[in-house]
Amino acid sequence: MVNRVIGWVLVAVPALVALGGPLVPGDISSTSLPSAPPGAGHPLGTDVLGRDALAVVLSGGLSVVGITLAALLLAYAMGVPLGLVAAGRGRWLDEVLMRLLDLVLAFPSLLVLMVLAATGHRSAVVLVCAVAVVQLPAIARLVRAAALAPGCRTAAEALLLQGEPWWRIQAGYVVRSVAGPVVTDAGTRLGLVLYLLASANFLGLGLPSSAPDWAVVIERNRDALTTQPAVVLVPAALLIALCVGVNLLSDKALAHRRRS
Amino acid sequence: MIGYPLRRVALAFAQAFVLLVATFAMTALLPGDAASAVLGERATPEQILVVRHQLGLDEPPGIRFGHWLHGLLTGDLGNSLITGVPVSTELGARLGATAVLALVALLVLVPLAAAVGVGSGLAEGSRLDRALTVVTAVLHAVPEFVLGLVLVAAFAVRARLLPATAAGMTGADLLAAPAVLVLPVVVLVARQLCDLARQIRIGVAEHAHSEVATHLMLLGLRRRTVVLRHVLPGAAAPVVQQLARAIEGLLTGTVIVESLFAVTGLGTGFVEAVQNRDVPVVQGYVLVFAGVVLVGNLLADLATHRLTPHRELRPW
Amino acid sequence: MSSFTRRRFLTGALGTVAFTSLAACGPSGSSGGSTRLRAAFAAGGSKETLDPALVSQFVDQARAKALFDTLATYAADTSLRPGLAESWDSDAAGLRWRVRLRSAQFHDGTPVTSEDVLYTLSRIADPSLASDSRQYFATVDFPASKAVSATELELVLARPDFEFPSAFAAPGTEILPAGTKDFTAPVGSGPFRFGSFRPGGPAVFTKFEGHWAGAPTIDELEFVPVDDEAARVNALLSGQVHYAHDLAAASAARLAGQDGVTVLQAERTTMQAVLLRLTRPPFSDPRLVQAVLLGVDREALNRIALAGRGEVGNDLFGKGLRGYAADIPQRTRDVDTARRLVREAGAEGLAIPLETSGVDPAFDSAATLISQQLKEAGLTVTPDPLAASTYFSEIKKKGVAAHSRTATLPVPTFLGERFRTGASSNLTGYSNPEFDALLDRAAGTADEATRLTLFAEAQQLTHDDGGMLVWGFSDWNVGVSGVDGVVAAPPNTFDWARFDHARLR
Repeated sequence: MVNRVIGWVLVAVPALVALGGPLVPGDISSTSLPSAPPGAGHPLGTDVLGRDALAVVLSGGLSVVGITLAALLLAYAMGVPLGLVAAGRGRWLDEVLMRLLDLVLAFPSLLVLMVLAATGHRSAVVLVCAVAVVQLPAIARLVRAAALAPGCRTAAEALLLQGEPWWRIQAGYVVRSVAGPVVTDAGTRLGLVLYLLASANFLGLGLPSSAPDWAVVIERNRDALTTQPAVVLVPAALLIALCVGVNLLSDKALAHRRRS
Repeated sequence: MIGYPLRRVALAFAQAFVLLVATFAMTALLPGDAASAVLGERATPEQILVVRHQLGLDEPPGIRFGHWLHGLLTGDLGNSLITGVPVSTELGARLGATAVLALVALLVLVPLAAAVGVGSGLAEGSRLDRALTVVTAVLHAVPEFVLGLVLVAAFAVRARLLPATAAGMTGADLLAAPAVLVLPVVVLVARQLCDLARQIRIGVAEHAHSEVATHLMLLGLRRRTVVLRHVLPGAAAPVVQQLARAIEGLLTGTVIVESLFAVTGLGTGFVEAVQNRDVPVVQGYVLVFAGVVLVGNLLADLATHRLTPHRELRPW
Repeated sequence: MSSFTRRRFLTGALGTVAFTSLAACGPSGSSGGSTRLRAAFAAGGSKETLDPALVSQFVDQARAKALFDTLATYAADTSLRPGLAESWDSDAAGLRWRVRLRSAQFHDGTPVTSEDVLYTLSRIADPSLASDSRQYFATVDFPASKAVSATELELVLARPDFEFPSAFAAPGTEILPAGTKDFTAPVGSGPFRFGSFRPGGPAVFTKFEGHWAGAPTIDELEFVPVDDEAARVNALLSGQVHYAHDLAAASAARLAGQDGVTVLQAERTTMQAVLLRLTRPPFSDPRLVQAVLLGVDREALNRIALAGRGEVGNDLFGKGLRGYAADIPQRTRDVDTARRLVREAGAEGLAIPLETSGVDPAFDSAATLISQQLKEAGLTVTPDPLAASTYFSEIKKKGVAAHSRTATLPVPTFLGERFRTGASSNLTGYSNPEFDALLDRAAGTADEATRLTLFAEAQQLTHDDGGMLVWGFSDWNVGVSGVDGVVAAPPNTFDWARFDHARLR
């Protein structure tokens, strides 16, 4: 219970900053001396590009949260139907789909992003699509397994015998029984995707180095960690809080599901 | 009905083939092609045609793939577009540091995860269990680059207890100066510890409270013997699977850790090649990284099958 | 300092605390009887060589300086001071140059002779070697040049050149024993002899007792390759190295307050520039070159990318040096004109990649700022980060706009190697017969004042349409800790990366 409260708080703070931050008026153009300590006008000091660190932090969460959520939505939008189709009637289709996904599953996610960057493909859109695709096999597999689970299977067959059309069974009953595992999985996956995107941005494989994205800001200002820690530690703390919070909540959800 | 191991090996070959095709196809993703990359942008169209011919780029893709594959089998991965140095030389020079880093991390990770997992699994629900679970979960959630930056600032720069970089050191140099390895290995292990320890914990907890274990204890067998002989082997199968994930995680982690600690390894080389869009070198790195993961998964699946032959595994 | 010789470390993961001496990885100071100075430089990766004629990075130059000697060296103001050559003079026409060598020996004990000098210079001038330094000796008529005696030689030029001796101190002109072709374990006459070296890895050199200027005060010198600037700072702060080369202005400002660390600053010595490729679109259109020159905000670049520790540039090299054309009016920002030029060229919203790299700490920030500033002029500039270790060789063949920097060189030497038609380091592709003729006329003028006036005219030409945007002059920063006897100096000058009088504390 305590853990869950902590989890929600950890998620809520960075999420609020990320989503509400861009609404707070603030100038993120390079106007001041770089790497200045906190002082008048700059409560967190300035970053290496002479931008107000607070304004940068406030506007830098949207890309973190936005790209993560967009990638996840896209991944589930593709993965859930794929899993359902695989679990559906055609045994042959199931085999082909699952084998193909097995092949994709073999490659580490960061590797895919590096290959794309190496061939000059790096932008928010590329990141979203690439991250979604690498999550696809695991999601499709999970959905397929949930749809084929004994309880769900029997009920679906019963409905089919009653003359319900196949698509309505899939859309109505099966999707509903798949929803539980998908939501729990989404929690875990959110943490994974956050980590993957942050790492890619830190390595300079994703967003441009002028982006106010938290991970990019941490990388650009890493030299200043010992002397002017706020610029690094504040976005780092937000990123960590988000990751830890998401993990705590999804752990709880997982444990809850396992018990029930 | 073919036996599982055979089917699994066949799948590995299919995966390897897809990997090769995908890696080869990478050149097609490039805006220009290798000829313009070699010549630079000042080249005339005639020069490009000549080099295209020299490189065999005017041949059909099938033939080119054949040539490339043949080169690969004879250890010829082509030359760097930037330095002209053979890709195998480039990779070879950097392999040692990464291998040492990853293997030392693995050697620390496995016993540590076992200690944490068994400790908390046997004492399920206790204060120790909860403390370990929370600590590993938090460590897992902290991205490597944040943890690394903080540790360097604290232990190397502020306290001067440990070296801050491993720049220019080969694998042998690293082994000779183990202090350099401490921070990178801590960062690598921290993130992987959670999943592996958790898997061990679950397995141990399940088997420790199983009827068999309780029965054996009632028969007068010592707790230690029961744990070592029955609880741990029973928990092994999922742990082996998790270990394969950990190897993949360690490889990804080395890319970040090497860049943090300026290690002259495969990870920094990979990032550098990516920055330079040096496709032949990137292809080399992709093959090495994906190859290790592929083999790791294969071994894990075969081991799992050995440990629990009765369980029907999907052939992946 | 005890923290240098002995350090505790804790193996945090296992929770055990161990105590050990880190002689193997830390600077060993004076322990164990032999002193080794460890110097961190950005390195050049697997293609590095110890061939001084093929240097491309500062670490190559620093290693060459330790192993070899040049005929002369540059003082901080680019005036010449004797090196292996004790003195030199020319005939009245500036065509025949006599060079007299001092008594010096190579590491293998053989004396340095005029034959060695002739071999080295003709090797550099040989186009098949493709040395960046070949420009300096391109006008030497080697068949006509000869050794007068073992310690005196005569160099004959194809056309008069009163600035010719500047070549004796130029980078990449270190003297080799005659016949040297292999550089795996080179023999030179420099203050340190070869110990070990791996391309892209560390190099260890040991002191040469027989150096003509006296034996070095340290026993060993190690070059540690650390490409990343942040890592160099950390290595210095954690006591892993004594000397961290090439630090960012912001790092220098931060380190200044830390005890035990000294920042050596060669102030305003390094030209920070963006080179525009005049031979290819979009900059084959002079209007766009002008638009870029007028569109950037040099003050803002200095304030932010150089942390306020720079000086505004006027699209000319060598501010403050002999021959610098100080009379040319400062180019200032004029966004309206820039936008108009962009519109006239039909290039509104044109995407232009700007090559950048971590090789200089100011490049990345400058690239971001330039992209913001030129947006106002209607150009979309996208920074394109390249790997540091091969950056300067890559921008020779890649891209249309690239960050670049140059430390101290004589102004006439710079003009000749960067703007002469077809010159080895002419990256902008500038080609102007009027400029080339002006350089020749200047070089052949015996009177120095008149000569420098002509060079100033040549600079006016490059200022107008040379394609070199010089936005500032930065400090050359080096961090040192636990070592004395190393002084602040920009690259290419005598005192830069000079370790033979260093003393470890």
